[in-house]
Amino acid sequence: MADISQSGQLSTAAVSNGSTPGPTGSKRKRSDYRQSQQEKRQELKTVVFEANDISQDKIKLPKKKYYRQRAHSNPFSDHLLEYPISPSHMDWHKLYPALVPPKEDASTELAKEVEILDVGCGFGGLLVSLATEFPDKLILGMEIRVQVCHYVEDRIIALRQQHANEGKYNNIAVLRANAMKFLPNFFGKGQLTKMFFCFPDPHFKVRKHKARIVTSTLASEYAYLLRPGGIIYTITDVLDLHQWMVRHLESHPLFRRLSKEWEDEDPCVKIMRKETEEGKKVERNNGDKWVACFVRVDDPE
Amino acid sequence: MKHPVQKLAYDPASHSLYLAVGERIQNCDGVTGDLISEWIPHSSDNVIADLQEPKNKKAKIEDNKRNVFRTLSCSPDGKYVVGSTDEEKSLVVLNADLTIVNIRKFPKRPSAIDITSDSTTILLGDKFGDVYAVPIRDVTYVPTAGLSKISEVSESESGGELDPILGHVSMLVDLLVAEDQNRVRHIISSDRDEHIRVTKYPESFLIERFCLGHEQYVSQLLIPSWCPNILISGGGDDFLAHWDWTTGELLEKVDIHSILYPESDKNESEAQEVEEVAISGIWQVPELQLVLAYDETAKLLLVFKLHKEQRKLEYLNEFSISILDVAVTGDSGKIWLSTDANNNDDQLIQKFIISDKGEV
Repeated sequence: MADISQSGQLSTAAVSNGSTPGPTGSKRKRSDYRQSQQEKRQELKTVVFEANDISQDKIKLPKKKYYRQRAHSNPFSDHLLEYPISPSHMDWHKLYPALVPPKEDASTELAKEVEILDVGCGFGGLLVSLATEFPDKLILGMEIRVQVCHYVEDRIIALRQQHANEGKYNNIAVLRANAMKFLPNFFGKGQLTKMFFCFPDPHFKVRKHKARIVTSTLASEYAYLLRPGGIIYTITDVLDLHQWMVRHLESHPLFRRLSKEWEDEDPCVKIMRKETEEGKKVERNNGDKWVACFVRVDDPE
Repeated sequence: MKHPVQKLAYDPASHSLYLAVGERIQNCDGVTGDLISEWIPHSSDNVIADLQEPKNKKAKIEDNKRNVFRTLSCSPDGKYVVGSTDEEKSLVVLNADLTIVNIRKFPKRPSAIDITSDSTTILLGDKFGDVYAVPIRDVTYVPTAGLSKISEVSESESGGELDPILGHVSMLVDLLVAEDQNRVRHIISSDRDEHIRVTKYPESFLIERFCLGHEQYVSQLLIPSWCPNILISGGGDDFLAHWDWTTGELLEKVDIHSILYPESDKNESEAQEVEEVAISGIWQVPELQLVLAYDETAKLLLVFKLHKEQRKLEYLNEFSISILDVAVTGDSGKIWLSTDANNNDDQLIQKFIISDKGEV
């Protein structure tokens, strides 16, 4: 650790002098950091942190600069992702070790199930805020980008350990997954009560519109996963995308748009506007944020 | 070199056997196999082109690229023969006498078709994963490339745009229209990502359930007519899956790897490569309650009996034969097989009789 901080000082000094630090310097630092984080992550992902455990050093929150990755990812390619054969094959204990018993131990009693899903959770800002807003619910973030997923995993580990006394943050987790293709593998019919789509990839070109996360055909899948009364939350700073999502969800027979009055009352809308990293970036750039929320109505008779 | 018959379709009422041979469709006598008539595509056919093809795209079809039929189906009322092609992505509808009704082009290559039991609508799935419902005769509406009809991009000039009625985000491999015990219609569709989805029809925005359990692609779906709640599926997995699709329950996984490769040593990775299962067809012989499944790697046709009461699929027999498709006549076990002809002497289609013990 000492080595890294020393070379860290060297790199920053070199940068401020205007001379090239040598890419090897900061690259090495990043790969060393990632390596040690990887080792820690493997070990601590499924650990339940004891309250009042003073024996462990406080785990530090991860630094975003070491997890840089290209923003865009093609949802149609194969990605070598892992996914369960069906929801009953999924072992949620690995993600929520403190709250869900291992599959082998599962009694016939219904274990807690994930109810809130953040599709494309990015760096986890929404997850972290929702954790304390809904302490009794299991919340899952899905993210397709590898490095970003690692960042959120590290962030959750650090938060769980730092707040072990209060038992916080055991109800959030992140999964590397392709939400466009494999949501029915993870969740059963009507399992979810909330789905968030925060600042999704706009896929500006017309021929890429089919890659957007909200389309008529995908809306049917979301309607399958949400129970009647469940809510879809969307926010974006791209007006065209907002209008697209509104058109497609409004025209879907199983969704009804909620009013602005409803939006102003709902706590999740406020969190969605303020707490995501993208949202904060939009604020800094004085951009607009467009919100649209939809309730999943009952099946027609 | 004769071109093999890649698809067969049978109309029991008229005893007509239809063949898809390359780009052509032939009508043969279902009893003797004699050729009656033939349909050959020509440029004077009135083709309804899709509107979404960008204008600056050059025509990809060269003279020597053949527009081969990938699917072929008879309408249940026996009036129409329908097939889809790969190269030009067209859906061809012919009358029973092989005169042309219409040809419609689709934005993406169609991969599976089925016709509703009232013979009014064709359901077509494409390689992108979208499923369209088109009336068998009416060509007023033209399929879009998955863009919503509320899209502001373009106003269609000739009538209207047709949207997909449902979509997977993965290549559609097979699809069926089915009715459950309450005669409520559903669409069962499978994709390359191992999903089998059960959607209501025509309310195709309502997904009823998934049948999940396959670990490899699902290439063939069958609903046996004597057990309409049952679905048999197969593809790249070592087993055939036997489901009650009205509940999503997996009743049994019928191991076929051990049937195809009885002496295989599973530890040898070399053996595993050659011993991959690839089910290219599942058919039913309803009068004998048999299910046939063909594995194209091992070139074996397997015969099973589906016991309705016990809900079990029992393996009976296997035949080593190189075939492309099977047409079942429904008449005391007589079936037509389309063989993968190796030389000019081989008959392209051969008639067999299957016994209720699965012997030929």
